[in-house]
Amino acid sequence: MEQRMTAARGPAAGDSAPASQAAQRERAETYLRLRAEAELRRQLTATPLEPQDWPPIGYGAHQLRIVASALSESEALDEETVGQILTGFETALALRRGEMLHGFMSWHRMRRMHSAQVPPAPAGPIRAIGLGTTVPVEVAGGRGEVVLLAAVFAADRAALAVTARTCGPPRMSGPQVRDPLLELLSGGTAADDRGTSYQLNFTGGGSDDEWTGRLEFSPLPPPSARWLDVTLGSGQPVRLDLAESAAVAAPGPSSPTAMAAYPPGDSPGERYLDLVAENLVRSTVLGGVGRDDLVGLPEVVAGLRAAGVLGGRSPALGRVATVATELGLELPAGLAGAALPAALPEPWADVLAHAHRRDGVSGLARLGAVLPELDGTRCVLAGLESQRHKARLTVLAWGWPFQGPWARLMRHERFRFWARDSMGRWHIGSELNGGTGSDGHADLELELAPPLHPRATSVEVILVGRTRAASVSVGLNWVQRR
Amino acid sequence: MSAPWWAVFPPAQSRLRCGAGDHRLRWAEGKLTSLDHDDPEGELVLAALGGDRPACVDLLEAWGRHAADLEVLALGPRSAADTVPITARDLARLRPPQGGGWFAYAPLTGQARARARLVRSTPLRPLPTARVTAARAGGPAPHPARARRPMPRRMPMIGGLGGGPELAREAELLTLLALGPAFQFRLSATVAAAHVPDGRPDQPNSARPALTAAMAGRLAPAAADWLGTDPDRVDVGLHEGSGWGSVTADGTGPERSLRAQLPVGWLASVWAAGLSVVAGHLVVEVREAAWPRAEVLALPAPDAEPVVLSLRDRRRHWSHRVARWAVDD
Repeated sequence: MEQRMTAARGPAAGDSAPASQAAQRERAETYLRLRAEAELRRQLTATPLEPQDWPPIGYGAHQLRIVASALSESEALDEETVGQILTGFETALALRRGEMLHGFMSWHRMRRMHSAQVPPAPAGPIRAIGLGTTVPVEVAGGRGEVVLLAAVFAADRAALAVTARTCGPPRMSGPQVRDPLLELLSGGTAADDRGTSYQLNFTGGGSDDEWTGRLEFSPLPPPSARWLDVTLGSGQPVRLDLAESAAVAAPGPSSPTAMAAYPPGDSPGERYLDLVAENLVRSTVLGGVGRDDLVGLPEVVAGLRAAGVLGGRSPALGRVATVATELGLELPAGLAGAALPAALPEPWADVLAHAHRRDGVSGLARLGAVLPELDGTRCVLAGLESQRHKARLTVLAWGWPFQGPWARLMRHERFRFWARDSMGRWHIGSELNGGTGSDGHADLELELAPPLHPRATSVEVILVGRTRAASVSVGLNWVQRR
Repeated sequence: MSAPWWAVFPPAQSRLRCGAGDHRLRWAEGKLTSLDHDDPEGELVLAALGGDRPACVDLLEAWGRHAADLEVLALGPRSAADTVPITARDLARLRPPQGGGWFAYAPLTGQARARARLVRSTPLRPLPTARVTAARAGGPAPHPARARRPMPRRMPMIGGLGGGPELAREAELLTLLALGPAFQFRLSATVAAAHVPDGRPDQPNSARPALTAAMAGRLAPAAADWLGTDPDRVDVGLHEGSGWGSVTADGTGPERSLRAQLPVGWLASVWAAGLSVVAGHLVVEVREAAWPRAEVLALPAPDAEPVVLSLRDRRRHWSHRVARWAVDD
């Protein structure tokens, strides 16, 4: 399997002198506190509106949080101060409305949750083996199959990424009925070349006739194990040759990637606006937050400018304007003159150009590749399902932060995924679900859109951090299913 | 100003449940004292040795801890009409919860139909019921054959969301505000007075943004009372030099905007005492005071020179909450 891995450093953060940073911080804090004070007054004096009125009373508070997040993400203001200001605002408002607990629950806790430390990635190598092995199984008298997509081994975890389905009509099940396919997955066993036995515990999700997830080994196989025989249901054991993993696990040669200078903005304020533009691009193919950002953007820009982290002629604001124009969206009046159209980075332009493609092949690709560590997180690509309009990527991760929809709304995402296939088509990623469990493991399901080019033979998957990116290239070897 | 900031305030008194009794707390001349504990410090020593901590003594300590806390100004009243109602029931709800809280998200998008059932072989935090309900309410009705089972799923690990010192500190502050409006204004004045510059030039002031916002939030409604100015058109800054500052106006009618630079001491000795606007004047400084009398500098209009007014608080009794300052004939 072809594989190429890189970790590239993007532009450095702003290098303002300490004195000007202190002044900038005071300007930002004063701006946000005055904004909060004015919003509190408006909230308390606003007359009730009809449901169809826009903006609703709560919109101003929402917009205040967006501005606060912008100042924090653009490094104009530290998170602690932002938390104090918003907690004060929310508590003051809640006290006067007789909703005292509300103020303690919203921003303060959400912010802390997103800043919570997750266990670091384990020391030692992480190995991944692309399998693509289809195991026929008997399910309640009918036929089914389990596809072993990849095997992943680390110091604290060993798992098989799997997808399973029955091949007959769906059967009735309910709260009191155990799904026979789930029963089969949950009862798997394995044995290694030294005769040690392992239990396989299923973690994942699905419907009655199709399940996708991981089979977790208990106990963990030793690194010296040469092979594993996996048994599911009453079928014959399937042998997994672990020797293959060496080639997959070794770091590949470093080389610049197309995302080396991504995101394109060269200061925190510029990068923040680039995230706004990127969300717009994402929303065209995967939905979610994006277009609504434009409504409140003038206030965000005003805040960034008041704080001194955004210049009068912002290239990033120009990119927002260009994306909006491409999408047929009108910039808010307050920005129309200030945003000069600018060229878009290649990934954005390409995604916009192929946004309506429906030419993806349908199939599962065996995948087993480890991304270089990036800002404390380790990711393993453990399966890819291509569909007509998008692709779905299975990722096992360590050190992965909590990134819910709220994080995207507040532009608080630490990591985003991009990909480029061998035909040169770019794909933007969106995290469907994830977060780190108490064991420090994260199982991510990502969507990539537009779909993979039908003639693509490999794909470079890129993990983009705040100022750096890491990537790995993998071949697309399609699994034969029954 | 030659008079101390607290000279424009009458005493204030409140009652507090303390042990089996109903005890009195009294504020006078800038200090809070307990009338029913002769030796609060001695009681603290006894408490440290294992005795009960009297609620009165706890509260006196809390008052001291928050005497310079800028959050008082963030939560406290902005004007006499702005009350901060807190009840004993509210305070009871603020007791820090036992154990950590948690949050989770479950973006049940279109894939929810096929993937809503998730399993996990090791114990995990449960999915919040409200989220599940909301997601189902927004989606198609489940097919009987695809009825969901309540299964645990992998949830993000969140640490440190329980009560903690921050919540305890907030609860303590709210306990002080629960003493009532008279104490809310006096505590606000205490905090503002604690941040009056000591006269040394070019001192860094990390509190300036919070004090500026506190000034804006209190001067804006006063300006509305004074001139009918739209509160959103009042631009406020802290005056840090000598003198009382400046108040200027631009425009006319509803377009008129006001620009004011006042010292932080204005919050303590003018605003908190209910002196902001008296007899059509904006009071900018207290020159002499011995409640119920005060001699102040006041502006009849923006850009005008201040005039000296002799005022008297005409509330019938010192315990009445709202000040009724008027020109003393």
